[in-house]
Amino acid sequence: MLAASLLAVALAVYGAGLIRLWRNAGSGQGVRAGQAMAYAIGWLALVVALVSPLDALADDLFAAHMAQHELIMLVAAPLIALASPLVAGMWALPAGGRRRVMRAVRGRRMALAWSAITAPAAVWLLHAVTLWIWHVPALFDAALQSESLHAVQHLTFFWTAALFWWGMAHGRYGRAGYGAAVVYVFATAVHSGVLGALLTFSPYVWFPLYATTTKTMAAFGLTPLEDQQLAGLLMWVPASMLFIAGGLYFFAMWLRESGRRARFTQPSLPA
Amino acid sequence: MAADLRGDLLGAKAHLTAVALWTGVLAGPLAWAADLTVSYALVKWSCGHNASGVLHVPSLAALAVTLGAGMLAWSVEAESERDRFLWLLALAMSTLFTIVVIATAMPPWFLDACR
Repeated sequence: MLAASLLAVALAVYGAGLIRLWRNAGSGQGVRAGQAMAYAIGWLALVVALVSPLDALADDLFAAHMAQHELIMLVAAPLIALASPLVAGMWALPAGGRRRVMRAVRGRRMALAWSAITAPAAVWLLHAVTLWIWHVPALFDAALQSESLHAVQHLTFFWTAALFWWGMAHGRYGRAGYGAAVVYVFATAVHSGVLGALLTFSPYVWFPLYATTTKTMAAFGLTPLEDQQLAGLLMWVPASMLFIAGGLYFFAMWLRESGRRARFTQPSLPA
Repeated sequence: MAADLRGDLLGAKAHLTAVALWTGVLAGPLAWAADLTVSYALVKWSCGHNASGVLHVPSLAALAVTLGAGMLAWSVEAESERDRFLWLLALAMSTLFTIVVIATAMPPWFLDACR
């Protein structure tokens, strides 16, 4: 219920902002049509993850829970982070409110704080620590037992992942350009792949609660250990593929950017 | 004779530059591979001896190597186009593998290796 209402609010705010922005500036201005599409797909991914039978299944099947988490962190978070959510959110406010917010966030201190929070190294570490801490057996099990802690888990997964992808995409303004994103995205593939591999090869069931839901698992032909292996594989292989695809995308952008810079500083080079 | 000496010194300097740059390029991946192998082998021993702290040692050593190699390459003054390329590659490699070593070192911070 909480998830559904938050999602409804998120869609309403983005939609209202987009309509007002495009009415004022023209369609595709400020937020491109592709970005609006990215938001829509990311939002749908959250609906599938949080307000669908998948969410109910995740209570009994660790593999389903893992699929849910990967949808949140690897599909929804990057798409929404790339969709200029702040610009759209800003335009959801009336003109006066917009001006006041702009004045408040334009200050030097705010700018410094924001660039410290979104620095590639900071968002990388934040996302990594969040991911690992929640997989400590005691904490994961506690989240399964308590509805509110579970909501906190999903919210921190989403926000740290969104901040991570935001930092990666905006890291190009730093000194290392897109190079920073290449390094940090690959390094994330490494540590989340390691966590997936540990789950896959562990001879124990990590989270005691998933040793008790054997009835649902049996319906899928799984034992608790097989369910955990499936979850580990999901985190290891498909998730790593997405990270590697992301890393390669940033690598291509890095090369393109350096080509552009070279042509700018040495106009004699062939275009 | 002075010209000979100068030539030798220049040759030695070029040699040192090459060593420093190639260290920067190669030390990172080698240190990471060694860290992974040694850490993996240590898990069983550390559980038997109740010494989980030992799992941090190879990672710290590898981190020292990647950082050291990066700083070594950083200190080189590249004079040719080729050296500048190697310099950039050395910095990129040691930065990448510093972060990758940290990423690989995460499990024992959060999880019990013996479970």
